[in-house]
Amino acid sequence: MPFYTLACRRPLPQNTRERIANAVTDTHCSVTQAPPEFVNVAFMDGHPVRDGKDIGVIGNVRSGGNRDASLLEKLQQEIHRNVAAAAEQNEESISVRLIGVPASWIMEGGEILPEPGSEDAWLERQHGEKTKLNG
Amino acid sequence: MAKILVSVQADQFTDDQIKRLEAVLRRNYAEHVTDTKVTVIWCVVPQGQFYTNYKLSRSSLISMECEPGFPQDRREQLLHACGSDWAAITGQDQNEVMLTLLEQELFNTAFSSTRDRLTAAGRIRFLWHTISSLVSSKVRKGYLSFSPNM
Repeated sequence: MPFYTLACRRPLPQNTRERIANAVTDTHCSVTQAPPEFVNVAFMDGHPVRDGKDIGVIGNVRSGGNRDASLLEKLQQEIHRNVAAAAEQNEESISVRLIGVPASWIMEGGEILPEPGSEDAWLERQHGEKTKLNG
Repeated sequence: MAKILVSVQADQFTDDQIKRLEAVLRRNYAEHVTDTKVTVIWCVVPQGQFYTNYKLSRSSLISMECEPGFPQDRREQLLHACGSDWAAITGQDQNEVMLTLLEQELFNTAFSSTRDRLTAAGRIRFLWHTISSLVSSKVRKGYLSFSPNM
């Protein structure tokens, strides 16, 4: 988590997908301060998105912690603008919806995810485990 | 009836692995949540369409539903059990496995959001695409799966 799905009217070229995935990851991390390890982006082709849009984005994101309504609104706006730029399309052709999920309902890396804004200890444990496994 | 939605990459697992994974999800769900009838749906994402941490992904996402107010300790027991069994069958690092147990209302919101963003005709097409894929997959492979591409 987050898990962003992009329903696209037409298949996008692979380099465009990559650009969009990078833009979503960059944007999510810069707005929320979450680490990129958490960010998943999936593309689905051939979807007639409503209201004449070419791309419909849905982001399932952790809620609570340091994420108040203004931060989520900012995240939605930035994702909207940056996906449009990465796809080289008008903002009017993109829709974005965020769905909040409590962190305590999610497990990743074998642990319940931390509340937004409290990732440091979780990441330390995760990276410590990796170092132990690799060492 | 409860639903479990699993997203994996195409050609990531064999049919035999998927059937074994489905069996452990069902067993753990019955043990830790409820022994009601469970439908497991596999969303198989074509290669090149799924990214994690800036790279093409090898991650698996498992989403399950539960009644409102489900106890957190039992949720964690379920997620731990599923994560361990999943890693044992697939050999995946646990960092490549995301599991959620969502209360029904949120599960249904997330589940239906893919359909809700489509035009009216698109929803009918999506429903037809999904149902026909699930039936075909069940007959040919023994489990319910579909591609998110239409």
